[in-house]
Amino acid sequence: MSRNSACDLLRSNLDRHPGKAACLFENVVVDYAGLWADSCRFGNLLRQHGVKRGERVLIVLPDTPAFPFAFFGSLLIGACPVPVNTSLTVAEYSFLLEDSGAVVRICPSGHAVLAAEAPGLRVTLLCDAFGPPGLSGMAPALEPCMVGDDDVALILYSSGSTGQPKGVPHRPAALSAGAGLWGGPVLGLSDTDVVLSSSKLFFSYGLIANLLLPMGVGATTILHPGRPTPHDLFALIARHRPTVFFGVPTTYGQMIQSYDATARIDSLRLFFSCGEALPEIIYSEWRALTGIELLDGIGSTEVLNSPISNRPRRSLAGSCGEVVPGYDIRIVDDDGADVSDGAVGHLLVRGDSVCRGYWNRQDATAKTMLADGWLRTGDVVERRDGRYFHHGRSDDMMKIGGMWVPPNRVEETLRGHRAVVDCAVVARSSGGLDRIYAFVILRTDSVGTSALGQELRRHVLGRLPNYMCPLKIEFVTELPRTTTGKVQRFKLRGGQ
Amino acid sequence: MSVTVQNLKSLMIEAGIDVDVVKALDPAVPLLKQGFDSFDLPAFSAAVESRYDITISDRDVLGLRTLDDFMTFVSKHAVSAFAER
Repeated sequence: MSRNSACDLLRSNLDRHPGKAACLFENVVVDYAGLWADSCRFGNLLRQHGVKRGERVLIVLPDTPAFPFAFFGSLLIGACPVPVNTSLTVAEYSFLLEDSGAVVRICPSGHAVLAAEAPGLRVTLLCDAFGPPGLSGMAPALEPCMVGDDDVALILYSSGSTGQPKGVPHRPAALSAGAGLWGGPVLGLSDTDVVLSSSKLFFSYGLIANLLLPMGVGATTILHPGRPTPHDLFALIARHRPTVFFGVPTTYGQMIQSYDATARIDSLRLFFSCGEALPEIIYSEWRALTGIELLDGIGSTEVLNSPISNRPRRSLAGSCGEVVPGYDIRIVDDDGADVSDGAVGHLLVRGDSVCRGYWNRQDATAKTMLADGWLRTGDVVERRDGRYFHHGRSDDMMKIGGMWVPPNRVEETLRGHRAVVDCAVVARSSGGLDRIYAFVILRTDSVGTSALGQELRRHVLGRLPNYMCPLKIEFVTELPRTTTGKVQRFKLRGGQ
Repeated sequence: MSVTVQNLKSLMIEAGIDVDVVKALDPAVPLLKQGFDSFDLPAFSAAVESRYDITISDRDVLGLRTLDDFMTFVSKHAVSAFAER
């Protein structure tokens, strides 16, 4: 069978309600007819630049209408959009361009990706909030390119615990799974909803929550460039009156800390949290404050969906929910044998939207994508009475503020300071949320004062994104190690 | 134990929070409304715990919104922490 993902998501909306708002952006309303027309224009522009079926299109755009135009325009011509983080370094963009083999980069003028180099890159399209210059001159219609069921329709990049990010390719049908299996049947989203997400479109969670899901059910999505503060979010809610909000636990924590009598959230009927485990304290405080339950779920870039999710009026504090129909779940021990209810084990997920292999990474594929279509997510979970409970990760990766942090990246940066001989970082709970704690061994001529601790934090802040900066730095004389010299992080995680 | 706005502002700067943000703070206005981000607030809370040798529970963290809130919390808990010794 051949299909086109953009048609799967947009065509029925075009037929049913072409004048309905698809995207709200500041004072602009983009209706479904306009979204389709500008996506076709973008597709035609890409074709004019010689972009062909299967070629990769690197999208480095903030959440503005230009993003869905570029995204759906790529899909319409059978090309493969590769949305990536807008805040990376030139070296990181060079890697992504080369690894994905992108022939086009789409970005705002003056962006860091413009300094990146890659051998296959042929075209650069500079965009403002509504697309590149000349877009309006392109034809507002095109014949969509039908692709095969096993073609790569989308590539997202996922952080690795070591080394470079991994490309996660998805087949065309996966792009409709968020709406078809989860958003509609489980969360009850429909074309009457208006959706707002604090997570950006270049993250898989943001892409699902703020684009694939609302387009898939014919709803309206709110676009906001930049990283919104809790006050920006309250202002967006007051202005656009969304009915559904998607956030990460850190965002909800901040919104609780910023909530006051001026907050107008009465338009909202559903709140969802993903990206990291939702602490019970945030679940209960949110409900006490707003009177509305906060649903938690487990999502994954490799699944392009939330295969485990709470349901409205059935949520339970501390539980990440129940299996979403359409997915199979197993919990296994270290030897791969299924564990009984109440036992903790490794989460395996199987379903049609699950990625079958990383992009050009057979080594990582072999470790993660198991026989018979099972994906090893790296999550450690427990099942009780059909509900799932998250117990952390089986690898060293940390999830801070909904974003992956490989510990070695922070450790390498700390070791770059002249006072540091060795170190290890782990995630520990603070305020119910995971934060980074660093354990540092100093040179013999350095003294572990609080001033040096702050200097080390500033050292990291100057070189890495702020979510990677340790919350606390403790000076130690040795690190717990195995007989083979590997740091025993569990021992560092345990002490408070 | 007496703690002043200036004590806490100095601690914020030690915790790596932007000096201009700290200087301009209104003690009665939520810190998240005055330039603190999602990592500044926990960093400051951790610095307060460390400096005053107190523990801020998960529930208390969510209620500490302003510099005045921190002042009240530290004054109350640091006193009891010292009194228990």
